[in-house]
Amino acid sequence: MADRWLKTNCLAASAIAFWLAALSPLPQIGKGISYSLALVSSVQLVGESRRLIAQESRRAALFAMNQELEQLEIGLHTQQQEEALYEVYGASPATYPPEVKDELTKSLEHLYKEPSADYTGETSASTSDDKAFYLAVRGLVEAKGETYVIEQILKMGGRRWEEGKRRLQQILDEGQQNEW
Amino acid sequence: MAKAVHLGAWFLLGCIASSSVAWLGALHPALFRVMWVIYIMCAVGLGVALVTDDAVRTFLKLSEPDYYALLIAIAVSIVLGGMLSWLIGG
Repeated sequence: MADRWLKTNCLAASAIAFWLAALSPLPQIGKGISYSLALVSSVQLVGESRRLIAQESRRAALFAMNQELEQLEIGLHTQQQEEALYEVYGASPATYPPEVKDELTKSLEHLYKEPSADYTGETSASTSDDKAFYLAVRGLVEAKGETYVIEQILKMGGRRWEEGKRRLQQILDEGQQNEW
Repeated sequence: MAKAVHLGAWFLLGCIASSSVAWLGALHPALFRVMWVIYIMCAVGLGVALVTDDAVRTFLKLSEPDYYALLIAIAVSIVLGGMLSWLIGG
């Protein structure tokens, strides 16, 4: 079947041609034939162009639906890829063999304890500092008494006396527990 | 585009029908009166459509400019077909 556009254009051209032929100085029989053919072709042209409108709208709707489907397909594909990647990388915690894990832990600890690492705060104060502090505090307690230590070393005199006393006791307990 | 072709097809059909009516009127004196009756009926119909525009417009579900454009196109096609047939069709 010929294309609808081609059919429509042919019908329009023939209708115009027959009309002009009918307007031209032909004998009356030729005019009659031309008029009837022009009428027939223009009526056909009206019907054909109506079908053409339907076809065009149908094609546009199909195009939109296909585009929608394409988008959906792309989305589904992407989701599948993401799920596959997640299965490969995300959902399997610690599948390392124990040697590798030990190695990794060791290197991590090494990095963490490296002296050039950027320490922040006092949380990473080494035990040797605590030990030296404990020994100094104990020496001072023995030499000058608790009051001096709490007021001058811990700076917790006056209203914070109880707190200072507790802190001193805590330091001494810690030292005794660790047997420094 | 298809819509434009459709409207053009209707316009062409009106032109061809009008000029064929004019040609039929030129054929015989008895048909001459029939032609005038047809033309006058068309003119009366257009006049009635112009007068009762709002009622017909809601019936056809057309906007106001579209409706007047339709009336003008029908009138132009009838006049064009008849005048062409009268002037150059002999």
